[in-house]
Amino acid sequence: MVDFLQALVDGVMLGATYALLGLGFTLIFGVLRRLNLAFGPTILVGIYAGSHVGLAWPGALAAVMAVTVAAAILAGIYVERCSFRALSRQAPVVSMISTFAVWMQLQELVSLFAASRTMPYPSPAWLPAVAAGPILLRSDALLMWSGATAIMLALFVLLYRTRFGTAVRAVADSSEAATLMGVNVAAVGAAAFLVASAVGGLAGVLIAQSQQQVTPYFGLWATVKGLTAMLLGGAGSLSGAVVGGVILGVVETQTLWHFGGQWRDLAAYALLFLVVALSPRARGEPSL
Amino acid sequence: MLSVEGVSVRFDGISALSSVTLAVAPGERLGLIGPNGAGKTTLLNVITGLLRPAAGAIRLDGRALTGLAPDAVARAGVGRTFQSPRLFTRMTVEENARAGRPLDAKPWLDLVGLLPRRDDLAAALTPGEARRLELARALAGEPRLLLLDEPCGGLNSAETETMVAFLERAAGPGRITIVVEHKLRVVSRLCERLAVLHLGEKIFDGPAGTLRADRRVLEAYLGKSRAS
Amino acid sequence: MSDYVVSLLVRIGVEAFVALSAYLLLVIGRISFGQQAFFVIGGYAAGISTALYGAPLPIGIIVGALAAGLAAALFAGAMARAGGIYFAAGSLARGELARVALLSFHHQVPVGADLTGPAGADGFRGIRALFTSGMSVTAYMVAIWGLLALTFLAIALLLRSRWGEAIRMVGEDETAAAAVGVRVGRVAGLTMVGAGALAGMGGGLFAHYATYLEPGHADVMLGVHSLAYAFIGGLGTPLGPIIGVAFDIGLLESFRFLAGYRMIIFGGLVMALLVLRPRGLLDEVTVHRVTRRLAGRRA
Repeated sequence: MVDFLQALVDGVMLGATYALLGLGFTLIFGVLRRLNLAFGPTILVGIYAGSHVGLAWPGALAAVMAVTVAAAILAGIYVERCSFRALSRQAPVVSMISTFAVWMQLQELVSLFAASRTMPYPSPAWLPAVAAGPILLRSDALLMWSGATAIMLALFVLLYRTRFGTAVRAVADSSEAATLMGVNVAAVGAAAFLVASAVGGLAGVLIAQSQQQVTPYFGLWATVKGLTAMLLGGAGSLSGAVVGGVILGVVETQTLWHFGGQWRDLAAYALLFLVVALSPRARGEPSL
Repeated sequence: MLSVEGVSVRFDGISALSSVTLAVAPGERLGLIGPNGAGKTTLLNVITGLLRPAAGAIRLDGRALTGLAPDAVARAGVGRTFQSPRLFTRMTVEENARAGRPLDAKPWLDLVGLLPRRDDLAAALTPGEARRLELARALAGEPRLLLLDEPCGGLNSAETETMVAFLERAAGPGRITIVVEHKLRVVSRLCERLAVLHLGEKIFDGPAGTLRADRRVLEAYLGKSRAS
Repeated sequence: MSDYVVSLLVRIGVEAFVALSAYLLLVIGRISFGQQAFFVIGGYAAGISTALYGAPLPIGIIVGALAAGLAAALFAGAMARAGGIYFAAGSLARGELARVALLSFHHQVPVGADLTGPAGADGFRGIRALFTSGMSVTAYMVAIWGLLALTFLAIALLLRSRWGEAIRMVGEDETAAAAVGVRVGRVAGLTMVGAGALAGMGGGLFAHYATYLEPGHADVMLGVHSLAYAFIGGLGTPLGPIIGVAFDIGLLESFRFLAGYRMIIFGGLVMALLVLRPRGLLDEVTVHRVTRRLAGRRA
């Protein structure tokens, strides 16, 4: 029982970052109706940039975080220009394919500048772990959870309490109707992309400080987590993405506790596969 | 014999068709008219299996079509065209007309005057030619029931004239035809019998000549106050 | 012919099978990032049948293709009617599932004095059927290209046939295809099975050349490259993906000074082509124009 609770708590904390990744995906997909598979790799660029800063100036945690987010945003702008703006007149799946081409570029780019395959990432290691009864709350996990929750709250305020947020939700609801109401759909799309990249960069900081290292494989990892969270939540729903992220986190930690490490990824991919196969929306989606 | 019995369709709780009943005899051509959003295309989509009715049944020569997948409906002898033509633009005109079926498409292309263009890509056709090719594709299957969704939509008057001429030639022996059309001029030339849909309900069904005298049709088209 | 050229030709030939596999799915309008799953399944199955159970090399290759086809059939059962991003996401999950599953796949049996067979993350060593058969690597390369030529011919003929019309119709508009009676689910499902078997054949051919396979051979980048090849060479003909492979492996990879920048150049090229020629160099319009001109000259 304690095992189950511990895994549940760990899962919720981990899931909070998956929820952030899912929100980033949903923001782009909801507004542009296009899938950005290079979302993970843009975060990868941010984390590698942050890692370089951390190596050059040990202890400059704030600088590491700022550079991580800034680099992720820059990479996001590149993706938006190449795979979305330039292809806005073509079928949505063409953008998706293009984001995979950008993915190749970004992944090669980080390995060009990486000193080694595994790069270290600084963590506020001085924070103590907290014990709540028999449940242990690791400091990095707590930071991940509280950071992710704060960012989510800020994002929901932005989307539900500001004019920009209203415009974003109007476009997501129906871009034709939003156009008729005088919303500049292209501008809102680009802005949503920026916000998503920033959220992705912040999620990257939280995840990387917990894992304390990063490999080029992170790009695929983050894309799959975000995609799973978004699709679990119903592809396009913001609160759904949060729930989807938490479900994914809990499934992973429970599998880890009860079956062992090698089953964790298997369970995560199987979950994504099941979600896709069982989705009532999958049938007859427009093709190429 | 096509019989549509009490068919209802709802989208998200909103009624798109409510209890529509319709019987069309072999060899008959029925014109289906009504304002935008009246449910004309919805009715065609229910018959062809693209939509499932919330209630009601559809039978062709006594055989139930309701619940069949669209491809099974097509193989049961139902051919159709779409409101905006859905051609296979990356395939040739002849491939479009044959459409994977074991048949010779040339006579059908000849019938709609597209035989000289059989080796062109369908993407190269004008809107009028595209409508004719779609008609040829539907006719090539020699359907028992032919559903035409605005066959003259978007055509200029010359193209409309050619199309009407082809449609008049297109009737097969015993074939049931339903023509959805906005242009009353076109539909009354093709069909002896008209049915009017309004807000998902059938409000008129009878000889084309009696349409203008019908009070409910006038109300639907001109508004209540002016009719009374 | 130098060893280097032979090895390059083997790699182009093998990769062409995976590229044709991804291409077949593109013809039915599906985007797959996961054909590498069938590549490794075919490779492992072929390797197991020859190295563990002593099957002759050709039988091994056939077993690999059949195993991959069977796996593809299971996948198609779940996904035959899915499209768009759902199919793409499902294929991505499938590719990674195969890789992760192989990490814990152990099936070693004593062969002679050694234990041979898949050993989880350590991979599957000792697939030696090619070298014990006495066939030279050059002869093997020629055999691969012969098989590739046959496969190309078969796909080209299939796509020109009546069934090919149905396949291409499903790829362009499933609703319109169903409206003339095409069994969309069956056409899509069978195409997926064939595509899986092709990738599996590539896997078996590669396993016997390399004598070694590991879960890392199911890297997502193999699937993505295979998909990208068709977008470079063109979707109008099965020649397109083969041209894409030859360009990437034959040209980009063999220029040493490009080392480290290959993916950046390759990715940039794909991006640019998607803007300028969304269906690749030999797209349907170009292929149509060329065949027409050739037919005209003959007449």
